[in-house]
Amino acid sequence: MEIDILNPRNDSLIVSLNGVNPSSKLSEVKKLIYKQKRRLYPDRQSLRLEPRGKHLADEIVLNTLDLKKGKILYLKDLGPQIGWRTVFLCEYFGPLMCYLITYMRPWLLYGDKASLPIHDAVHIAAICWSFHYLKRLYETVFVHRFSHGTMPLLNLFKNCTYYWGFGLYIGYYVNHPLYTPPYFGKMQIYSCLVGFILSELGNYSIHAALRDLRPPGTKERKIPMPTSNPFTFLFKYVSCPNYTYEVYSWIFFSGLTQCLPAAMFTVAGFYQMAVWALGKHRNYKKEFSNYPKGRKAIIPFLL
Amino acid sequence: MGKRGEQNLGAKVYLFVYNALQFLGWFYCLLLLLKFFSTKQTNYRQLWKQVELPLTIFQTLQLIEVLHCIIRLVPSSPFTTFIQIASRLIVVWGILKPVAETQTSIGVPLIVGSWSVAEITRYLYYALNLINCIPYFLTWCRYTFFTFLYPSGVSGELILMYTALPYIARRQIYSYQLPNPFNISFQYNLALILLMLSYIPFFPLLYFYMVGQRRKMLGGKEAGSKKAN
Repeated sequence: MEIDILNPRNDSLIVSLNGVNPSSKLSEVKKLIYKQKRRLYPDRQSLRLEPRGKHLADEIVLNTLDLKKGKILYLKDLGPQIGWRTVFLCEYFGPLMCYLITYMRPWLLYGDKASLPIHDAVHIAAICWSFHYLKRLYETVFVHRFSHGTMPLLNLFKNCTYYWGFGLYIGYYVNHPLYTPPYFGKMQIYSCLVGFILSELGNYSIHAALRDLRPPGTKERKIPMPTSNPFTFLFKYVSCPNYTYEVYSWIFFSGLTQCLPAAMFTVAGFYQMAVWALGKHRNYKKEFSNYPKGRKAIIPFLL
Repeated sequence: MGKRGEQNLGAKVYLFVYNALQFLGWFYCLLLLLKFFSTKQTNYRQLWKQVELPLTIFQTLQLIEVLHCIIRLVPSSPFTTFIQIASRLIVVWGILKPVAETQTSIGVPLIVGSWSVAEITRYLYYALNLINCIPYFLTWCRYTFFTFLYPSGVSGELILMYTALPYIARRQIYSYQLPNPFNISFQYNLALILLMLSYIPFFPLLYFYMVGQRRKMLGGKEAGSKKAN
């Protein structure tokens, strides 16, 4: 069969495919387009039935689609793409490095006061921060299975600015020679430390559970359920407990350091994760008719 | 401004009254500026003292436009609307009021003139748009005046901020120092420098957006007879 691939912006013809097998998947159609248009590699392509229509998944078979009269598909160019893993590694390496630079109390940042004594809370915070980002780097390499291979290149710059910037901003104040230790002293520091460790363990447990949900090399999706790991009980209450635990981690870190920039990072992170969680929650509900009713997106019973 | 579809009468009347009120307020500011120049005065502080009250009131009143966006009375984004108003509020509340030395600056007549003329055309345009009777001349003004009002207004704002910097640094206005229990600090003059630098990417962005709007609303260069949609 013959298909015309059009640009959704102005209906102009991008490429015309001849002799396409009607039983081929869209992923194969994308490869055919790529053969003629070397600029548009498959990850850059998003195929739709209408100019403003919904993105069609790669697994869809051509002859199951209700193609328009002239056998037309619209191709939205998603722009240059970059692998998720690369983005993750860059965006997590930055805050680790930026924070540790401020932890060394460089004279360049703090001048002659740099030699003032360092409070225990500052050392503990540096360990927590480093642990968190080392854990994320580890998960990126060994735990996560990505269902989409790539994201727009622009995201690399956006995400890195966010993470690197906040790493430097928070590190600057926590490691500042004029840092004021927590108001309630040791009690505040150690109770928050315990909370932080538990939240990190919870976060890791969820990531591991999500990984086990998806068999290697597939894009299969299932309803996530609590496993034998007690930390995963949160799946009973929310669709994205990894985000819930992540928010808890940052609340405890903010309490541990009693640093307003860390609290700002917590709020910004919560907002972003809530948006993602609501999206994923909606997808789960749409995909699975038997999705548990009482489950919320990110905050148990509330949101 | 998109088409205001099926808006109920109450909302229309309210918006009309609001826009008309803003129009009158800015018109009054412009009159004060003209009066100042007609008396051949040269001390801009006199101008500021005369225009301060109405300008502050009507500029600050614009904050309820953010509310208009939130409750979908108008289709714009509340965030964009707020950003547009915020830089001016910083100039009024954060520069001219606390740093009296800036009141003698050439920036004062620049912002009073640019803001008032821009707002007069804008609010008159909005008000008449609600009753669907915009003369072509007004559309032309709204999409032409910005070509010089926008650069002159921005120049005025930047001049005022720049003038204020040394005084803010010396008096530590609005600054919050370490050590403090929140472990955060704020340097107002540093924030102002960042704000001024942000004009570099945003000014061309907005200017060329307006150039695009102008092309859309007024058509080709010589299309004097073409009606605005």
